[in-house]
Amino acid sequence: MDFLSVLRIGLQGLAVHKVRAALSMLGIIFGVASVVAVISVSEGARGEVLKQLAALGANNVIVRGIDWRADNTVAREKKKTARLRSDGLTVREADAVVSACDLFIAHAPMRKVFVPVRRGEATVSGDVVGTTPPFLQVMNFSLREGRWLNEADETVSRRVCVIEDAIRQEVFKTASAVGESLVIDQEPYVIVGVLESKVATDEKYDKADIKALNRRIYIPLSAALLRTTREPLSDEVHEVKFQVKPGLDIYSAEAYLSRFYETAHRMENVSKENRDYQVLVAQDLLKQVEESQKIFNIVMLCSAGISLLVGGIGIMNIMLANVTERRREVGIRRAVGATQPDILKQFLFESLIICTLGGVAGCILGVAFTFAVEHWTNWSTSLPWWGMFAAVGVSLLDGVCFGTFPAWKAAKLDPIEALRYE
Amino acid sequence: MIENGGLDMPRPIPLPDGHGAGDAVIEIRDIEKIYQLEGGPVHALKGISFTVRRGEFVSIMGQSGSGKSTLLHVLGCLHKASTGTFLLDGVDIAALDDEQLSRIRNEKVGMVFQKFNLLSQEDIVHNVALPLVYAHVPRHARLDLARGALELMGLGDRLHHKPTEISGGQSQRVAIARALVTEPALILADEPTGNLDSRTGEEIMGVFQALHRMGRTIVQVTHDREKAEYSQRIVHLKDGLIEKVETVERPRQAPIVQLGAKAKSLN
Repeated sequence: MDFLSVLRIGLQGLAVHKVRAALSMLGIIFGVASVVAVISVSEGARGEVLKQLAALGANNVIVRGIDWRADNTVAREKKKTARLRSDGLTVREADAVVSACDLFIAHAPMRKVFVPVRRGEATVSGDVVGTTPPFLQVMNFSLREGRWLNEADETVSRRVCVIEDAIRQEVFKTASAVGESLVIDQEPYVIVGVLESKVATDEKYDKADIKALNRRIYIPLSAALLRTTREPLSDEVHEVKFQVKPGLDIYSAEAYLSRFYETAHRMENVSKENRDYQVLVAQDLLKQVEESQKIFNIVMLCSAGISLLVGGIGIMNIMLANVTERRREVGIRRAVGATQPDILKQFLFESLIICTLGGVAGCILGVAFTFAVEHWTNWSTSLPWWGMFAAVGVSLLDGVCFGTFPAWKAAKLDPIEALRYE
Repeated sequence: MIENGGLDMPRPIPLPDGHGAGDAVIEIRDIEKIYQLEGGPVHALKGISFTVRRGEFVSIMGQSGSGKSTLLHVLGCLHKASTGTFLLDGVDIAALDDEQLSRIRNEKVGMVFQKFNLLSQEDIVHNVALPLVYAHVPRHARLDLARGALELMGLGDRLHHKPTEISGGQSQRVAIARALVTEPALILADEPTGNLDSRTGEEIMGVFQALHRMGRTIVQVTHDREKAEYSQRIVHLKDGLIEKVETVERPRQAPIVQLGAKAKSLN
């Protein structure tokens, strides 16, 4: 039997009970729509993280002090214990790492300064960060206007700062903020440069620090150390970013840093969660995000799977009813020469038509859902071409899995018994 | 009298080449059919032998339970006999598997049923073309052949009617067209007038007689003596055995049916 004939017979078979066929499609439609939605939301999230990784510096290894300000007495106690072993992260030890090995091309220590920032009488919401000139290169940031902090600023702890574009827009509302000033911890700082704003951010990715990135005010590290109020027990620097040489394995650099800090902080016998620092690879942040994404994916895929299962059972049910109702037709076809494979093909094809139509409708619904998600929740989504194929493929698989039994039953009907059916 | 009944037609269906009346289309020897039922085996046919030659019009008669339906199913290759030999147009049916049997049904047997057995969702031209779908005939060719067969049956202007839109007599003509379309060696009819009034029944007998005159081999199964007398020979079955074979000296003659002309009952 040629393809067109099978198609024609299949469509005719379904046309007899249009509503029934449409209802049996619903399960498939919702199942495929969820598959499409899962793929597009998780791919969108992945794409977003990748973009942010680029912003963070995919080639960076970050050594971060455990945040003393964590609102947690246990953390505080741990910190106190750790202080008995080491002084926390320092500039000196970061410099020592870089000079002792040939793995890094640049490094930038960062000190977060928790002090009030004002413009005139108004409070400016921004995080003050002290850092060194290589920071711009390590982070691969670019300037919108003015200049970045230089060695001279660092040497004399000059009261200059570079702000993020978001702060310029909020505070100054003018095209240029260079030459203006901000009061940081009671001292005026002159703005010498404004950074380009970072990629669109999302609350989900606080871990990646992107949101905070757009709210930063950078001052020379020496100014941060000398001019601002320092808290007891606080590390000298909160974070050091090491930029790995291109072509080198980022994980061996990470291993080197881990060993170094372990020795320097005398933490060989201390378990990882009790140490006063952690070594992070930017790419690991992606893994963390993917890990949390995974739960969402599993839940959604389970619901998609259940929909497809229920849809498949619905199709099997409908097809079994079809086969029973159309036994006489099977008998007639067999009497005029249809073979068992011909009958099997005919009924299997009907299931496949239901599933294909359901799959396509599901894709459309899924895409609509994806747009709705993007529109209402601000999540970014992206639907790769393979997602569509996967969704329709899954629905076809559903058709084959659940359509074979009814089709086989039809094919195995005894022609005479079938012809006797009223 | 019948004059030129089957010959005056737009599309004559020729006899297969190289065969005149005389060679056997059906040759059965000691056919038995045993059904294994819950209550024990049932001997539906207990050893039947007869031959139908090409071009013959034969009736098989018997009361219900005589085994005539079983014999029809065996002759139509819908079931195989339990024992015995059955040569259909020279092919040994006993040796065939289910797929080959399907092919034989498609190529060598055209079945006409009491209840017409047309597919209600298809129009009549597609109903007639149905066997050609399974014979792998290309779409255009099969619609042409179906149209030809329907024109022969006088239904050339009803091609796209649904079976529900035509009368019983017309439905049976469609069924006959479907049986003819593959040019089978044998036309096998199961009580072909059982669902028709007597006038229409007679008309269908006229169609069979016209086909017979064209050289078609026809076997009909009937319980109606009068309808059996339209054929040349009657095989009487009783209790799964042949009771007697009767030659009809003067077959009944149905009113003239002009194949290819518009069917009378269309009006």
